[in-house]
Amino acid sequence: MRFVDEYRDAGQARALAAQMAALCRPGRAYKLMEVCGGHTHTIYKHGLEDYLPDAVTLIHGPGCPVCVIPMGRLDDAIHIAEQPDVIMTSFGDMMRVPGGRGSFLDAKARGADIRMVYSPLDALKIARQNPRKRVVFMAIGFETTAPSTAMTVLRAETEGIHNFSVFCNHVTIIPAIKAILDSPDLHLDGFIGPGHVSAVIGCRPYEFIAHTYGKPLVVTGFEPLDVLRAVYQILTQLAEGRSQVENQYARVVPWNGNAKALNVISRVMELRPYFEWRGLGSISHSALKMTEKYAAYDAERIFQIPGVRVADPKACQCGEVLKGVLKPWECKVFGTACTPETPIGTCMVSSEGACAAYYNFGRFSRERVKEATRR
Amino acid sequence: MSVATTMQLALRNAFIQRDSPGHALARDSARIARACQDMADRFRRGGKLIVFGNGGGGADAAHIAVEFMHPVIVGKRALPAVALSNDAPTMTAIGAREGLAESFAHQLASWATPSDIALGVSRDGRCANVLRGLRAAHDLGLLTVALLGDTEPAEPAETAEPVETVETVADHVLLARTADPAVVKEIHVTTYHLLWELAHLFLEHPPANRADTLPTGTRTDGRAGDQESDPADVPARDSAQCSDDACVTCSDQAAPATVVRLLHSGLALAETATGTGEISTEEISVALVDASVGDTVLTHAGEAIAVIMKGAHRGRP
Repeated sequence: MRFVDEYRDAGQARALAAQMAALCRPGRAYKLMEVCGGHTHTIYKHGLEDYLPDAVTLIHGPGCPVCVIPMGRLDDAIHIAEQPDVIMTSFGDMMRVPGGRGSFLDAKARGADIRMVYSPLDALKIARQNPRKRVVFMAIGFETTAPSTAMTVLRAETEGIHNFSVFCNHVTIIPAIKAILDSPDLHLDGFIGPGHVSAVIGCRPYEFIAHTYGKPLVVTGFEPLDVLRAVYQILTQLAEGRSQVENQYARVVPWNGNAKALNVISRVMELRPYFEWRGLGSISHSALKMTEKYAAYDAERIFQIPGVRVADPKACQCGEVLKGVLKPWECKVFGTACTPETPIGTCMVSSEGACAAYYNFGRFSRERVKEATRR
Repeated sequence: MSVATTMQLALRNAFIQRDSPGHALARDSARIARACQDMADRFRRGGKLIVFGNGGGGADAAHIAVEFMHPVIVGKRALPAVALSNDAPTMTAIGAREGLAESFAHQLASWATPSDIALGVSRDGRCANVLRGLRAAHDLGLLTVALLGDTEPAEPAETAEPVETVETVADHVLLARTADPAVVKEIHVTTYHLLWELAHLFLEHPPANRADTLPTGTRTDGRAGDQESDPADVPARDSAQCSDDACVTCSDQAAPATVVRLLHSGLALAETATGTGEISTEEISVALVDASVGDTVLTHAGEAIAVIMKGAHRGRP
């Protein structure tokens, strides 16, 4: 199949592995962060870490939109869902995410009308079909899903649908990367840049990472060879003493992004002064909210939300995992009290979460074996 | 006989004494599961657990309440529970004025609601206040569970009052099948740990045709709902889309789609490859890209964010 087979060739992967090994300076360790949860999924699904030189460690970043939602926001969403005549709609990933008062599924069991949708368009359709109900879309995601939400609000406006609103939890990737770069916990050597976020925002916004922080960043796709090539390109830059933004995913990502999508986002949404990220704390200008012009479609304004900050369960170490300080299996409850069936932390819920990826693709056992062998 | 041999024999006898009640408990698994299922139903409806007992049973009641209120296993949600015997002033006040037999019934009548669960603990099943409490709870419509020991029936009391039996007031009677008071206690602890564990299991995995699969418009709290909506109206995706380890649409992942027809208002019909390689057609928005029929676009949450191939090709970016 085109776009698949040529990016899954084992021979090319082995050749890249040899080239990467040759680029590593003896005695030096390389810590690279893949920012996007989709890349984490690819890395574990295809066992890509086995192709990397021992000196290279991949750190899993905060790029899973479900994983970074704080518990308090979910409680706010459940509060909205429990109001009279409300139909809450949400992506499937969010349904099992535990908040302080349980998950969407728990709220649904208590009687709230919460439905899974595949897109905001589906939510709008439900609003159209239920004129006497107030339909709320639980909007999550980075710049990849924000255009879809914004476009749907514009459609609702055009069609005169007034019983539709958005509980906006969209976040933006650049401030999160900056927060990680400023974190004293981590000393990273380079970044694997997100693919689909970059299809919207382009590659220019990452330039400060190369210029100010002196770290290479390579935007790449989601096939195995895409990821390996990105690592190869980062190692090449480091070997040559360069730090630049490179676009390995040019078949999808234009250097300047999608101007129409950016325009739609800026018409409907604006930056929040600050937003809490699970594990990273409050980051200024890191999330989007509805503009005053679209207040009528803003669930946050329509419903009085409690807005209470809820601390994560003490046993959960999602924060450290999201910052890359801990490997998922180093978390105290990984694979025991916290599993994909009964997740405690968000990283175990979404398939893009680092813990779920480890758990589902058996990295847990392999890492343990590796550790035991080293000892 | 040496001390060591005596000790060994005593230990062996102690285990033999526990062997039969332990196996009996295992044989009662279906009975325990039914109780847990009913308890989960009550919790789902917003009910709380009210536990009571005397002496060691009172200590058990406190233990049970704390198990539910503050789960020791991380990740299990707290469920509302209270032990009536914890409140010494109220217990003694009622006992002094109305007699000890009323100590639980009085409290239940004051603040229990029909969606609650009453769990009475009695080692010998003869505690008058536990039976009266279960009776009051039963009359109020609570789910009633009795946790008892298997002792000889009591001698008929010399009174005109009919003797209350636990079978008439408890929806579920869970027995420790031994008369040994120490073993009764041990079996009780295991039983209520099971009650806690299985109640959570039923809460987390409601059986089909229960709470989360009720027809739209029906609420689990019994309130009448609106019948106008139909989830089936939302276009169903091929479940095979979710078979490739991650659901490509509901997860934050992009899916390629080939535009087959442009519709009004920036919408289009597009073909997407499912996880099994089959093709399904769905409505997407192409308002943010310059897409023509035959183009392959990258969709995110139903919105095309990039054109990845001009012309009739199908694939994955």
